Amino acid sequence: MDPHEAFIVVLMGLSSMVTIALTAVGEVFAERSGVVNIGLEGILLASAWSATYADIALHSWAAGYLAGLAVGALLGLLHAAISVYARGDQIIAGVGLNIAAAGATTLGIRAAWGNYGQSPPVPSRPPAFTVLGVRESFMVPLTIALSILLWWILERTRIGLRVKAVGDDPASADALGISVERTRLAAVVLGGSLAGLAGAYMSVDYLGSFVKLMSAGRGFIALAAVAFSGWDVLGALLGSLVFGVGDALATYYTTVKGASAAAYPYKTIPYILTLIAVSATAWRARMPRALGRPYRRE
Amino acid sequence: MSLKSRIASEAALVAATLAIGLAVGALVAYSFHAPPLQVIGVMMGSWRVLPDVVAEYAAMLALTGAAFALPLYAGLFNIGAEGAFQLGALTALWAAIQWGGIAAPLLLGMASGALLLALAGWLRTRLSVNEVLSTIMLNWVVYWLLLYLVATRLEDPYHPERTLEVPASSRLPWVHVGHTAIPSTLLISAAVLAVLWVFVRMTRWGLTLRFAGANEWTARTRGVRVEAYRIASMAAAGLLSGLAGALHILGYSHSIDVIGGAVRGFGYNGIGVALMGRNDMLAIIPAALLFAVLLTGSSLVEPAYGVPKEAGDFIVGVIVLLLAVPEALRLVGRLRRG
Repeated sequence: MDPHEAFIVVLMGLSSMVTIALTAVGEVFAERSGVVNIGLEGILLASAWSATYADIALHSWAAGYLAGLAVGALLGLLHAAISVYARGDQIIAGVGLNIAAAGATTLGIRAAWGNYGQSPPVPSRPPAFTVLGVRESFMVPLTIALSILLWWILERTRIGLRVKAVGDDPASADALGISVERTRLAAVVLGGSLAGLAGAYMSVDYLGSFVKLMSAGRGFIALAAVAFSGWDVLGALLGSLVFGVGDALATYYTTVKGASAAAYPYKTIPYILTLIAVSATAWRARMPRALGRPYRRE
Repeated sequence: MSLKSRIASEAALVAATLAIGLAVGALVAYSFHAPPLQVIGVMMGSWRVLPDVVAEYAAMLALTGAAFALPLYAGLFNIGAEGAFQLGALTALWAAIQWGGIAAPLLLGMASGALLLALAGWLRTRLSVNEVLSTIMLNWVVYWLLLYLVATRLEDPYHPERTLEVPASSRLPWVHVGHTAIPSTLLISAAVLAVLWVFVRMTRWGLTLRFAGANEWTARTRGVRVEAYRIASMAAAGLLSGLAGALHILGYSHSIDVIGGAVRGFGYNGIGVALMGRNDMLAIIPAALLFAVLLTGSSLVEPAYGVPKEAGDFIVGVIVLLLAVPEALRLVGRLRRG
């Protein structure tokens, strides 16, 4: 790979970064508030399907993004209802969400478009610019800007302080008059909404159609980016870029090798890269202390 | 609460989640313009039409269910049965083609699964890598390597849509009782679950394992090597999943198709089986039968009524989501948090 090609791979990495980054940045908020959402993979799929459906029905990419956002927020609300209010097991709720979304969206392909594998191409795609022949959506700069804004909110404002307080020491936060439940609900719904945007990006923007099980583990790679970052918004953005480039490398080699089975080993690159990156950094991360634990007032 | 009333309340909960899951299935049928009650009837009646398939699926799901349940006793969420099952199947297939016989493919299938998940256990205890993350990543790595090897090294030149088949000397027999044939894999699986039940309930190691999961800190102060127990529980889970994969190849599918359909989904569905079996090794067996009926049934519904077989996956997802609600999961909560 010469420097020119390497640069192209990085450019491709930027556009695959968006899905992972939006999901990861939202999940940083949810986890800092004390709630893990393993169901991000399912939210990506459900919102990607809904966005495609809305885009095809209304011939509008904006409607697609709105549908993705709404479905993401709703599923975030469902996860919060189970894990925050009903004090259910967060991991199992997330696993259930993933299995249900994988089944439902595959059913949805049949129901909406009458085949087994994918939707037709969407009629309307958002504006994009081209750098050295690589398509970059307007979402690339927007994701970076949004991440900086959310970092500022989490680290420099009272809202961020509240989120971190309920994630680290819910009993003390409660004693100070902060509603643990409502703060966690808001953080999880924010996380779901951003994953919903990410899902819409994946189908109507990045690929231009919905394909069966197209998220291919990206929800989990986003969770890895959160762990890799040490629960920091900008760190998660950086991690997403690294994993996005891993994704792009897999795509690059697949294209070079043609669509034959010989390219399959390259498809493992993003997963192995993720595993190595998290293994190298997870041990020193400082986890929110109440992560994964439902709060009960004594 | 007495044991009897506790079992009754658990059974009521499981029945309620199943009823809601089936109601959702009926809605799906309705949305595909199929008669809901008949669809559910065909789905749940699959054991009469395809008893051999149901028996074989139940054998596999009981083992992958146990692979989720065992590390949970030590406080770990093992999502890696899917990858370990596929790796076990692939290794057993390769060994059977290479050497024939039953012992080598079975042992190597178990060993490969055990190594895969021991790695996840080691990453968790040594480098604090969350086991949910590492096992999902490993599942994907195994999946792509499986598809690669199936389409290249193991391909049958006369049937490019699948691998070479397991030779006759490596095939597991079916046991004939009167007019019905029972797969020997079901007998092996039930025996393994019974041994695990005794292990978890009645041995010193089983007790220590549960202690390490229920109260990590206290266990540590009492000199329990929590890390060793956790790695061992993951390795054992990998061994169980690898065994399932090997049994599936030697006893049932005999080859793997190029899209891996023959070996997909057993691991993920095992999670639902373990949850529905309330993490009890013996209760996992009827839960596995129920899931096997449901999943086999959903493939019957497709040709009969045009309702896609993924309806089965959707119902399973809804059931797992419901089982996450705490009243239904008192048990897991107790195991995890002490």
